[in-house]
Amino acid sequence: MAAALTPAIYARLRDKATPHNWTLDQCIQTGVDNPGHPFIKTVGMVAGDEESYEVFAEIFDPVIKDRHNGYDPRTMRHPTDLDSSKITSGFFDERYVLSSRVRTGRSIRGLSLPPACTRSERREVERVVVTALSGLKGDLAGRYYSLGEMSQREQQQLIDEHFLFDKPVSPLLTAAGMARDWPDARGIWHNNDKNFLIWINEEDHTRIISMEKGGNMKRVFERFCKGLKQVEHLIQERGWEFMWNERLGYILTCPSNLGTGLRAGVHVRLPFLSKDPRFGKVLENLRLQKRGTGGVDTAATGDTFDISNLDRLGKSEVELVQLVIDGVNYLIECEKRLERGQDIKIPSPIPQFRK
Amino acid sequence: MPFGNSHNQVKMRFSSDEEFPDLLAHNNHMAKVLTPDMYARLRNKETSSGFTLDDVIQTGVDNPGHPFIMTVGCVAGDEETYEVFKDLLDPVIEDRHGGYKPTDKHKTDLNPENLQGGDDLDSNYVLSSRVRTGRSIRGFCLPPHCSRGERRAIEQLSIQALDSLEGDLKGKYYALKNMTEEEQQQLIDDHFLFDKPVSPLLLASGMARDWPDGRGIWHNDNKTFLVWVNEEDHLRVISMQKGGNMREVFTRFCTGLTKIEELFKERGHEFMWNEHLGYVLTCPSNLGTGLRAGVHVKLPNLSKHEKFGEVLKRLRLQKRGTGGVDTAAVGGVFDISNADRLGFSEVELVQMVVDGVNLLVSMEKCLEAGEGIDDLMPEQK
Repeated sequence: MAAALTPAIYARLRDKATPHNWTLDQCIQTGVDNPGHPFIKTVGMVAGDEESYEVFAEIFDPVIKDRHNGYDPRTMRHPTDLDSSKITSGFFDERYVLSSRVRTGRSIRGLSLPPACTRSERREVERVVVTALSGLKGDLAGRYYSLGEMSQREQQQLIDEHFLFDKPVSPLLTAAGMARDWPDARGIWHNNDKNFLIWINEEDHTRIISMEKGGNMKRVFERFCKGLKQVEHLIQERGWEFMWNERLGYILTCPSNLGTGLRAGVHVRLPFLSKDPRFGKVLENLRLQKRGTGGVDTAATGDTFDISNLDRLGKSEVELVQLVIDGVNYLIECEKRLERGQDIKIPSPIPQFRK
Repeated sequence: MPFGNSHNQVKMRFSSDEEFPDLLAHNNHMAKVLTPDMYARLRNKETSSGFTLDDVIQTGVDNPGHPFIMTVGCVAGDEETYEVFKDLLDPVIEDRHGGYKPTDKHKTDLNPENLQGGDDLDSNYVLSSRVRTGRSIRGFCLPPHCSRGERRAIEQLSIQALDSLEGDLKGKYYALKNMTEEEQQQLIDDHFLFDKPVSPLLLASGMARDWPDGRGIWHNDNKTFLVWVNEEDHLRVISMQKGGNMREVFTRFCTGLTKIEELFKERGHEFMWNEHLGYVLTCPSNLGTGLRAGVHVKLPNLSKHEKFGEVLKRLRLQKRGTGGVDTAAVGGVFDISNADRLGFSEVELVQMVVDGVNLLVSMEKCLEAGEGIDDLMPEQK
């Protein structure tokens, strides 16, 4: 945001407001309050509603372009593809890959996003989503746990399973107003098999997560797509839909999550490769990102890394998951070669967008 | 984070019941007073700068309770807040300030000659003495609500006024964002530096927005008179020194404040003040005098006595840790200050602290000597 906002843009946009009365200063407050982050280049602005991306396009578009490697919302279209049958080689060597996970977010059209929503709107999001989820069946059937009402035991259970989310402490999020009225209308839903999980009213209206131990990324993604489609169908039956458009794909609170909103990743052991000075370059060319196993604001401990796609916008879900699968397989190959005393090659960089 | 008048219109599309916050787990003054009916009556109102009911109460909704103190749970965004939202704030004020009624008048007395004694608190026990208050500049919004432009204007006005101080009050301004490493370390060592608030009570009300823009510290060359600009209030004015000469601390406090007020008036600005609420500040707990006069005092024996709490209560005093409001005491050294702010004048409050601390030290000495303190138990003030 700070790289893109000029006094002239500020002057032109400062008296505008979205139909929900969200303003420029409210979009940028988090970026003003948080000059920088030790590990990542933060975005520094958020949307308060779907229309923010239109009304404040003059500032959002350059931020989006800069963040998403040249993706131009004015001229380009974002592809959505949730057909998991297209995925190949989606089963990793489990001596290296400990777990596999895919997450995204979805916003309910017509209701303000977490920085801006009123208590009623937030409660409405909860009602709409929980009602829809209660319609899931078979291996997706599950249960909702409201954050405000959960028992001590339920809470401990959810913590042990690594499902529980807590009130945000990151100043990036609190400065944007997302933690207001906590824990009102926040909760966690998960299926009985404990491999499909939905967060309600945390940083987005919903965050949808499919995960399991081991390396069967294909199955994780299959469940992900099936679950997403069923939830979408269930809310449509009641007259709701997800925020989506051709230029930006799925609309979420943070511009960094536009497009697919998808982060597909693994926890993988790479003791040799992680000590090789070329590790960073290999990841970069594969369009992958490393994080600590605690998630976005953590550093890695030991030799186990969270490896996931860097990109969100401009490539479809299928493309990104395939990219992660191929990339992680390549990393494992490198690891094995280094184990055997053989050398590795830095792969050529993956092209950014379909021409 | 404040949303102001425009966003308030969005909420009006939903019913009052749908918007009413969940306060079941809450224990603060706001939660005790706010009813669904009151919410319904007040929710479409706003001050002329656009501060709304939800802006007033957000901090109380986001912070159900505090381990050491009963928090207020609401803030003002401008002077008018106390009028427009009287229905909520009057009972909060009454509850917080010992039964102070909407019809009561508050007395201001900044004449240090009216203080009796206070120059000789026993410095074997009293390590330091301090008096602080706050002031708001009329016509500007308060820290939860002010724009960057307003905050910068307040800073500029303050710098101009403070730069005109002379004699033992002459000093220098250090803007938080321009400070050198060296200046910063010096201010930390002097215990002058304030940092970006971390307390969720303050953050939730929006006071830390745009940090450190427009914030700074001014102090005199002698390092006994200090002004914080744009932290929790427009101005926080502090007089402090080591030892037990509270009288000197208070005299400098009054002289400095009076002079600063004069300098502001010369430039066409006055402080927010009225007959009923005294000096108007961001937090309702600081209305009236906004004054906290206190000492750091060694009370290792008395603090372990079962009647310690009762004594403090009768003397209308409050204990804190030596780190300030959100801390616990360390090594038997306590921060002891007046519990009241409103309904007593500045002189009356400092007198209570002087007399009270003298008594506490006498009790400590008795206990040291193995004697009881029952004869010394005070009446309820």
